[in-house]
Amino acid sequence: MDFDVSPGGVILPQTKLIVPGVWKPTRVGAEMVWHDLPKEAKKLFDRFFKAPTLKEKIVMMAGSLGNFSSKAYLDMLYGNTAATAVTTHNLHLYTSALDDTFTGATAGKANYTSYAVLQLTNNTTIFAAGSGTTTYTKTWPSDAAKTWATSTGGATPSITYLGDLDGNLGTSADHGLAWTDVTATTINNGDTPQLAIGAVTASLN
Amino acid sequence: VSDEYEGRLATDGNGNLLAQDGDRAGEPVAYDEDNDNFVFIGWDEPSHNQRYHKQNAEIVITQDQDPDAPGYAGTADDPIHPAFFSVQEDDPHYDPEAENNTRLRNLPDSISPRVSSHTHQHKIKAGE
Repeated sequence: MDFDVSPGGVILPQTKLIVPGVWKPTRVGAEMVWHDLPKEAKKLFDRFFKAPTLKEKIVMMAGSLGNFSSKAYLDMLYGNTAATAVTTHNLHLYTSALDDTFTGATAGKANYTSYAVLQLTNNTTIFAAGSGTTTYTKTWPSDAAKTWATSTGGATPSITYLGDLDGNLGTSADHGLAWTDVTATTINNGDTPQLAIGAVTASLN
Repeated sequence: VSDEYEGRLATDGNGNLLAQDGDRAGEPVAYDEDNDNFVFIGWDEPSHNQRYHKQNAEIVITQDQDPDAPGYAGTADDPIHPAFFSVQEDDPHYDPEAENNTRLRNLPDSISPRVSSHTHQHKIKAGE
């Protein structure tokens, strides 16, 4: 406890104002007076109790950062090791599962005739600022839908995963940045795989 | 000077297929179905996608939070997209002995650049 000293030298307990926070009804409290509440008040309480939390409102995607990204972020936070931002994101379509260890040499990439990696310049036009505090969320592509190359035949892969790499050498030197699974989509001759605006949501708690 | 291109490929997201190797890296190319190869084209010519596009195939990320949003995976007990909850047994990377039932296969660096995102990817037979 803190103390004040009066002009006469008397030690007095320091008084502090207790500032109440925003009043929020509890379920128990509402139930106690439920029968006396007017209809409009009941509606208001219902909306309050049933409203999702911020976290629940965010559409959480399946997927993860790659080991390379996790290490870069932790080394930046603890150790002051600067993380170098990639200049270009290289997005590949996969027909088999990915995990945090994937690299450019991981098998399962699409291979229909004319298939090619989708390269997105790492800027705030395509990856605009996100929103949220408790959970920070970025949704992209921000500017326009993005397409892979149109199939001109050959294989008809069923795409089930999407992987983001930091290079396009096609070898283990390309590091896996992040990955996610996608709804199974078959690519036939003449099909152009496409990411709609805002198709990808990435968030960190 | 041949206009044919052999090497790694990339797309810019706007319909252009681009050469990745050699002195002309970054220039647009397109598939030539008569000769089953890729040739350089001018920026003012129809792009690869403009020549062959019939319809879009939307790539949709799965999620389990909003039943009304695209890609809703359902629940673990009643899945719509089972792969959201676990790697499926028919997945080439499924391994019941591995962590998360996933064991990735990685190709040798001497082979992997030609297997995908390459002008010759469709000419590689299974097992090569």
